[in-house]
Amino acid sequence: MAKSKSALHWIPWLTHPLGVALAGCGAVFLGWLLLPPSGAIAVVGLLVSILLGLTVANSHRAATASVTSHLETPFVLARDAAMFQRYRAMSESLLAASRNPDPIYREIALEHFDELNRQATTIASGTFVFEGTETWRILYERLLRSPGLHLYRSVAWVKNENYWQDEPGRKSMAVNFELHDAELLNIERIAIIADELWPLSEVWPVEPLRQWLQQQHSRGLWIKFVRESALSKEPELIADIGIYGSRAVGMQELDDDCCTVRFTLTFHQARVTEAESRWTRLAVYAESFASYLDRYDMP
Amino acid sequence: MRPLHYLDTARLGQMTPAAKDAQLDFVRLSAEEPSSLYFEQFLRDGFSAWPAAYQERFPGLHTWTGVSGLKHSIRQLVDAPDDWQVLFANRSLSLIHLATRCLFRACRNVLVTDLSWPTYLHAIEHRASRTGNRITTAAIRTNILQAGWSSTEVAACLAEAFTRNQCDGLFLPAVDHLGIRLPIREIIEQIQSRNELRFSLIDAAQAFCHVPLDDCLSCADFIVAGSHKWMGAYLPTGIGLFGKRRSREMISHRLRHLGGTHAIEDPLLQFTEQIESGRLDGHSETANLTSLFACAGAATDLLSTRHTRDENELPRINDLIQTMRMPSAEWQPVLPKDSLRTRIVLFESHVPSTQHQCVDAIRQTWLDAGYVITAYPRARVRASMPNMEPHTAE
Repeated sequence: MAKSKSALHWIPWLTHPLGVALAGCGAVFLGWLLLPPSGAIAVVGLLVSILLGLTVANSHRAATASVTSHLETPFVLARDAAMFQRYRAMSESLLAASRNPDPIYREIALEHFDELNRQATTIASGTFVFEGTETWRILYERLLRSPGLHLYRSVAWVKNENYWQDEPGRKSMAVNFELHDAELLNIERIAIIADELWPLSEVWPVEPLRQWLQQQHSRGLWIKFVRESALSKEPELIADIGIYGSRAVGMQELDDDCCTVRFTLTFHQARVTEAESRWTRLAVYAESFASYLDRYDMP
Repeated sequence: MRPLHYLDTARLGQMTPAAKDAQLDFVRLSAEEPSSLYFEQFLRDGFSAWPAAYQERFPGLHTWTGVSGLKHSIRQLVDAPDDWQVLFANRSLSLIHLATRCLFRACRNVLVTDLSWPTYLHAIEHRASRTGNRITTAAIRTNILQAGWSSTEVAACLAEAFTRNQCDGLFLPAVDHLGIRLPIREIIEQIQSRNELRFSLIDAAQAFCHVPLDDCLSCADFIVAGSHKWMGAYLPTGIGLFGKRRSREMISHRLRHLGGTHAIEDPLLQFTEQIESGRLDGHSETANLTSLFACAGAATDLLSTRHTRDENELPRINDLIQTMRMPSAEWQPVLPKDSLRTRIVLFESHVPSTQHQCVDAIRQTWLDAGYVITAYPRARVRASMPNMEPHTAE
């Protein structure tokens, strides 16, 4: 059982309402007996302040999950109806499983529960992982459409011409355009382009990649691009990420055919700050499509 | 009786002769044949496309060369390249709305100054908050008028504010309503030397047909002007200009998108874009076209007298001020440094009794002295100097 380091635990009776009330009444009675009227008022005032402080401290302690005892857990979770429902469902599943005496069943069930536990721990840390599926795009769209999200910054690591050219990719781009056109979302994108798709000898990336970039620029998305080789000294910047406001960050890992191998979405604030810092560093290397148009004619 | 000098062009310019002729004949046309068989063709292709009989009946409209022709004249007036786009709207505010929609597609934090026209500033603030973006305001007016800042100091201050506040967009007046001319090119070049400037929007309401717009054309993404001040059309028409390669496609797309979703709130903007492309939507709101003909007349007059006008004649402003007969000696000009001056001159009085006068009383005082001016509270007067030497009083 996790032990709280709160000072309240050293005076256990202070955490009980009855103990607190009795202590307060005793102090007020002694003050009334021994002190002049003004002194008694001061003592009452002091006690009220202390009691208020203790109330706040108690409520804060109860709200902090890390110091919640297992017995307190349902009471703390009861404040969050949706979570409490899940807690009850999981508890009932565990209870049902523990009633089955078959040792083989028990062994398999424990392995599965361990796996569920690992997933739950990941989720609790603010992270979701999708492997070998494009279903993450449903979540992606839900995030982009969520009220209060105004800025989506995306780093597209374009390894080959198929990047976001399949049906799910085109649909995601259509969502980008729809939200950007409706002025519900500001979208900025930095494309890291493999050198074979943008040879050093060429002004523009190969078709249809150039058109893909130009189409986004024309729709008003703020587009920047950079050759992969330009980032050779900072390879950690080469990644496929999306920063959703300052709320979450998603990282997409693609195979050679530009299909999703893994998509990791995290709401961990430190990860978001880290991604924003990477974005800023990457922006230094990249040039905007707009300023490129100032310098070069379109083919 | 003293001759009256009209020095209120910064509010509403005097109508030019050709603008007046076009206006009068358009009123006659409206009374006699408001919607003829040939009217759409006349609108699109101009006076020359009309049957001879109409040309004889309404000669004042000979300056109308169609929507495309008027756009061409506007480009000629400001020396804009042929591939620059010109837009017309009933209100210049509609063009500001369009421009801010473009501005905040690209920008997250736009630098503005305290020289901006409050209505435009409000439109930008509104758009910024609607799109989750923001603006940063740099106060420079007092430093220009009281501390005598030079154009270099103004540019350095704005570039520094841009960098410090991590701005990425810019909204500036080329000439503010009190006559300060901003060094647009210098400001933008200084900003671009240290930062990424994504989009710049220039309010040229007081600059159009008053000072050269070369600076704005060389570096601004969108310019908004109007016909009713220095152009001399009297009737207001909003005029928008854009054409930089970096932003042209984006602005055109935005315009098409808004037109397609019926989100353009200005009937003239919608109509002129449609008639030029030959895609008239029979269900769109009826547009008031009157101002276009006056605009065409004024453009013709300005182009024909272009060689005699010198928009760089500002050194003569001091001479013009010297020739003015002020209502009293208490009125003193408040002039910025030479490079920031225009033909709009601000006068101030520090006499307490004058400072407490209402604006109408101040206007009357100046009118009695023979000048039509704009008056502001706290004894401030704006005089728009004419292009030629004013007649001396009496």
